[in-house]
Amino acid sequence: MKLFEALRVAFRGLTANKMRSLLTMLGVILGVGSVITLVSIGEGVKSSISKQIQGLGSNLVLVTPGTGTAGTNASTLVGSVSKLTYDDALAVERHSPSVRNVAPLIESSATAQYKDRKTTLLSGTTESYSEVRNIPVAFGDFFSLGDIRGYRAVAVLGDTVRKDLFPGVNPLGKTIRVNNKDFKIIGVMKRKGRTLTIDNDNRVFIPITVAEELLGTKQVNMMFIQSRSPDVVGDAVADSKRILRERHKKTDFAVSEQKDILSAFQGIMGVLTGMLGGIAGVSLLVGGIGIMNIMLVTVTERTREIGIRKAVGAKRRDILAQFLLESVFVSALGGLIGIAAGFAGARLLKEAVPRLPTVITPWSIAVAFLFALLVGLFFGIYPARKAARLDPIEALRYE
Amino acid sequence: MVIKITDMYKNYGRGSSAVTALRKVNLEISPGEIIAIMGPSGSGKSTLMNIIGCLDRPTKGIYRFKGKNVNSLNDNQLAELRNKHIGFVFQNFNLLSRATALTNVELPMIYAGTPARKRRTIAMELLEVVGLQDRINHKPSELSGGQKQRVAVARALVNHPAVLLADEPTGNLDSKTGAEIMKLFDTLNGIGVTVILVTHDREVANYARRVVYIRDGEIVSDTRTSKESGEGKIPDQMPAGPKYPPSF
Repeated sequence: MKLFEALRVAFRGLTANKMRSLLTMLGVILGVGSVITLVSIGEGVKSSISKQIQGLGSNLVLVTPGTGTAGTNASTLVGSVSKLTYDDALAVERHSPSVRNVAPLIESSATAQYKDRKTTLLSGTTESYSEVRNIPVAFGDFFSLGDIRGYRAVAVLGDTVRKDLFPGVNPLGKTIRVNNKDFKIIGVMKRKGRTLTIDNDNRVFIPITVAEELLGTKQVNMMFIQSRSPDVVGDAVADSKRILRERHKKTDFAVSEQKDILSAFQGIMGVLTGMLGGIAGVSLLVGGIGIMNIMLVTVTERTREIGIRKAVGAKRRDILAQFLLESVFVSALGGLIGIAAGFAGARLLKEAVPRLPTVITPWSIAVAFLFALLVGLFFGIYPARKAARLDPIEALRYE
Repeated sequence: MVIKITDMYKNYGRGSSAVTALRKVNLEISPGEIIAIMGPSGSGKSTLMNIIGCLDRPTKGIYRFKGKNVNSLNDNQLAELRNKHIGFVFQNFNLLSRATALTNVELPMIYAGTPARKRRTIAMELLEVVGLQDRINHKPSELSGGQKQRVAVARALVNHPAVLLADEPTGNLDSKTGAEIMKLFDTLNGIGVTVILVTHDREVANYARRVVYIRDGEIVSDTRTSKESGEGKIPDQMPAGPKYPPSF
């Protein structure tokens, strides 16, 4: 029997019981759909954060206390005993020919008050921060080296702080109170947007020297180093390591380039995405069991039909092909509809939760669809073999 | 000889629980014959029919179909043999309930690999032969018993079988429709089709020119009649019931 005929016979078998075929298919549709949707979340988060990391610039080097990869170790989250200081930053800036600028950052949660109060992230840094991080001021100015050296109480607001504390008011020249100290507002940063749930614009920037006094610490949370060009990033890394080690007499810090951070982050996200896909894959497996269940029922129901077909000359492989094609057809069609469902799911999610970026990748579609096909094939084999092995005499006698 | 069965036994089960369904059966059927295999239920005639129809293999003895030893064929080869050389007509029609008359008739040709267009032509022709040209798109549930059996006959004929094997073909039909179906077999036999009727109905056997009587798994009589002289009557020496002793 030709493949086309077998397909036709299988298709007729499915259309004979549309409701049942549809319900069986539903398992596969949901399976494939959820694989694609969940993977799209993982991929979306990965690509949006990757973009932000790439936005750091390829000539950026990050120094953090502790010994892990920057940005990924616990010390950046809970603070550290290792002491990176403003002086360290100045030393690196001064002694490495490959380094253009160093922007150290002292961060602490604080309350800012104009009329209303707002919890914000107080960020003590240097004049080069705006350039190093490539975040320009929207209006006003960033503070200068003079402001730092002169311990001047000036502040530059992040966009969220401006919006919340100065709705419809020009904040320039106004005074806000941060941790019981008055700051004169001299500038507002451009909006940077959110990274998932973190608001990058809920910050108040002040000169690092003022921050040291206000917070009573000289410990720097991290240092952004800008190399003179992307080509000398390696030199900048080596120089920074050498200079800091000389000053600290030990390696109690981690130096990483943007590409290290990127690959570390993408590694983590890859695992997470794989996990999401795997969890969704289980539902696809359950869908496969549904196919097997229904195919077994179908084979029993159609025992007589199988007997008739065998009596008039159907060989084992004809019957096998008929039922196997039915289950593969269910999974293939379910897979196709599931792809559409996955697209719809990813889109709906983006609409419902704008913060959650979703990106559908071709590989997730291919993997989900192939897996669905494989599931249909695998779970179709047993029922189809059962059908093919029926004894024609017994089958004809079956009521 | 289209069929030659020599010293054939068929057992079911093994060891002490084995049941002998057929014992020492010898039967030869020539092309063009119309023969009835008769016997009460449990006599083994269904078993014999299954073996003749290549749905089953003998336990012992030799069954040659068109000179080919059936014993040595595997399931797929048997399927091919049934497909090409044997047409089945069953008591309960055994049509695919979801398929139209046309598709039912096309079924054996699908497995024979006949191209779709040719299949259609042949199926239409045969449905016309059995007088159902205006019922080709009806499903079995929309057909009467007689019509269903005609579809089954048409299906049995599509691959030009060497043997038409009918198992109680009138069992589910009223006597008038039954007679029509039997006339159809008679006509087909008239144009050279070998017909084997398996029945316990003497009316059916009347259409045969040879009657084989089987009881308790053994052939107890094998009688040729001349339809012209005997008007299809079963001869007197035909065992009539279970009490009748074997006439060997």
